[in-house]
Amino acid sequence: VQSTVLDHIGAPTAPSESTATPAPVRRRGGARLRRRPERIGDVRPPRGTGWAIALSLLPALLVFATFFLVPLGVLVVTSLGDWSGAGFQYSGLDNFRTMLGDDTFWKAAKNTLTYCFFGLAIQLPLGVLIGVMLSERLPGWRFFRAIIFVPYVISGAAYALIFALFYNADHGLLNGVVHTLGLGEGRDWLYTSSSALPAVAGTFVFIIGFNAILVMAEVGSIPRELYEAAELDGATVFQRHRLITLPLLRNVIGTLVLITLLGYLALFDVVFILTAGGPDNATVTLTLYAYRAYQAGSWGYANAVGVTIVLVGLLLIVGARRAFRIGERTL
Amino acid sequence: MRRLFLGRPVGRAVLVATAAMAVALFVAACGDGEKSGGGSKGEVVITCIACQPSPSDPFVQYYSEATSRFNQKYAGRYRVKVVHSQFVSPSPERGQYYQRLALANDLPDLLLVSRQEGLALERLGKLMDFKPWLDRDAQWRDGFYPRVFEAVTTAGKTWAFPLGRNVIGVYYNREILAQAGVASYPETWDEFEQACEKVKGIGKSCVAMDGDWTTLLMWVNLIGTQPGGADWIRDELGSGDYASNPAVIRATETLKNWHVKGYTNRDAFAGDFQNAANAYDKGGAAFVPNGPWMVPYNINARGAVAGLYRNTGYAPAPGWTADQRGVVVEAGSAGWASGAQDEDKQEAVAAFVKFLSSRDEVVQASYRTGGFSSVKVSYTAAERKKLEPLGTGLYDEADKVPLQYSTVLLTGPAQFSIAWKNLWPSYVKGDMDTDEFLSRLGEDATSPTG
Repeated sequence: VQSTVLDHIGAPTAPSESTATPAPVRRRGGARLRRRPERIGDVRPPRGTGWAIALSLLPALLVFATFFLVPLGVLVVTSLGDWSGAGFQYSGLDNFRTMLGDDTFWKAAKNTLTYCFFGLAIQLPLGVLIGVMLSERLPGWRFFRAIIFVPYVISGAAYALIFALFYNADHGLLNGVVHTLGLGEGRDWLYTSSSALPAVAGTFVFIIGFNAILVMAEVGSIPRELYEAAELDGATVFQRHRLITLPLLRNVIGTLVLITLLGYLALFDVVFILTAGGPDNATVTLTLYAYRAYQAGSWGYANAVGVTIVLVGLLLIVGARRAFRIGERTL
Repeated sequence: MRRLFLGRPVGRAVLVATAAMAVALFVAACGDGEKSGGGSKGEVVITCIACQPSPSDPFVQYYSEATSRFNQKYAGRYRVKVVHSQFVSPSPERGQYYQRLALANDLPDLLLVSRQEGLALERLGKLMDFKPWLDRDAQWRDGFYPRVFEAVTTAGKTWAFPLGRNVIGVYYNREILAQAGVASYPETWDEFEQACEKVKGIGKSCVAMDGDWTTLLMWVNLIGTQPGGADWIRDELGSGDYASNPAVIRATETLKNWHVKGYTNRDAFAGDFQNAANAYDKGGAAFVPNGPWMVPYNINARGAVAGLYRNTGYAPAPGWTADQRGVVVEAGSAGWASGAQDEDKQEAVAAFVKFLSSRDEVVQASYRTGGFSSVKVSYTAAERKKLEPLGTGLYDEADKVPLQYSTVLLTGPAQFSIAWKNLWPSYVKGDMDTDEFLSRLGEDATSPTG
């Protein structure tokens, strides 16, 4: 099996039209580089239509500038000073120095990374697995697809409130189950340092509906001929998915990795409602850390944290795109 | 002609017109909207957040009803226009919302603020000064209890108008105490702990706590009933120096021990008042500290266990000695503020708060909320019959209680509650000792970066 159809999966195909991955070419001196693919932007508009196109783009540019560029500029500029609304005083990189010297910032960074890890280690694989299983169209798949998607459409705040009751130390369902199973009286899951972070992560790592649906859609676009050929070659179901499905899901898995990382980088509502970052900052995230600074009236400092989050987000985007070659066709 | 859209020829004029319309719409959308709405000729219209009906907040509901009466009384002269908002009752989001409005110079003419929210807005220089209006009417000004304006006055400017002055004691369930063999409400903290042991013995929680409001009420009770404690709460709680004060250390360790010994409800750390309320309302706890508003909305409400109201007593906190008991007196922790800048609107705002502090409205407010006013009022016998006897009893008794002190909301640093909720569970569960807890509490509560 592996030497026939499957050998070609994931290999660059010959360039055709404008969508294919370009073949590598050699630069003088031996360095490899990719030929720049032809893009729509390379086509010059007909003479005399440039101003009309520019004018048509103006509203969108205005919206983009107003709602993205200006706030981003304000964020960056105000991170360089003491700003509390009453006035602004430039202080250079002082906010960043203070931030990097604060233990709570590093705790927040570590917790954020831990949430990301939970997302990548549990939520993503589980979503892919369930998505692939559902795409097998086993009996009742439509029902299960609906069930697993329901948590995704519940707001984070409502979800957190449900789990606050679930984890409640006095009358929560979890302690009830623990007690019923004879495992003791349970514990105060959210307000004990050792269990708070896993308990908070447990509220959202099983929200896999979005991942599963995206994987299902991608699996549906894989040509059936590949599976039929593999089946003729004697591949088992497990082999077919491992050797055909998974490599061809590279794009969507890369996209999900990116979405997961960026989502947890901005994690706020669930943590805020469940624990407000406690106990003793055991669950605090970078966004919650920034929020506290904002609450304290140190808006410049809060924005320095915000700039850091943006920079980390950019790094993650670039890293994930490169690692998973997101956007490049596999077939 | 060019073939641009869907293969159809489109003229330049159409393109230009479309783009121009889009830009015009965008610019129009960015324009300033109407601020206060128009009134009839000569009528001053002021906007109000917190004048809308509220099924869950008795104070806001009362203000909604009072607003209707004000509009009726001053029809043609002043009118309060209700601005509906989800940020009416106190919450962390409300303070942020106010700050956003202030930065956009769009604060309403009337808004309810906690002291901390008001201080933040005052730092932005966006609040009206009530002092000149109070000074214009000495009789009105002198009708308030002494010192109620202190907490909302900075550098001679009174930036909010406090209307409540509440005496906060400890509710107790007589039935539970009787079942546990406790003959009477404890007068000292030693007796309180002995009662707690007995209550624990019958499988109930002794004192209902939430990790925030009720826990902090007990904390100030434990501090305030020590020699010099009341003065410390008033003068030094804001400093952040907690670890060096023996009274604070003693109170903190006592409160911690109540948790360790199992005197409290198990979910006493969430910072959610409902956890404490549930424990008491369902008959699961013998004591809970809170204000008089707890009677209509919890103790005597539909969700409470049958007979709870009948079995509930309300008393000052025990003391370290029987002759040194105390009550929390809360005045100035919240009030009305105003973003009104011009004279006409400020006059209307002053008329509104004056209306609310009139005798009739003060009595109405007590009926509707169970709370008491910062205005000195002697209730008639007929009025007293309509007032909630539990709250009124403590209100009357408060003058005879030797010690009075405020809540942490009034004199504590801005970040106190956040810092407490973050550190308190870890301290109680043994992750840090008292010195580390109090040192970090002081640092975090006064940290300029939160």
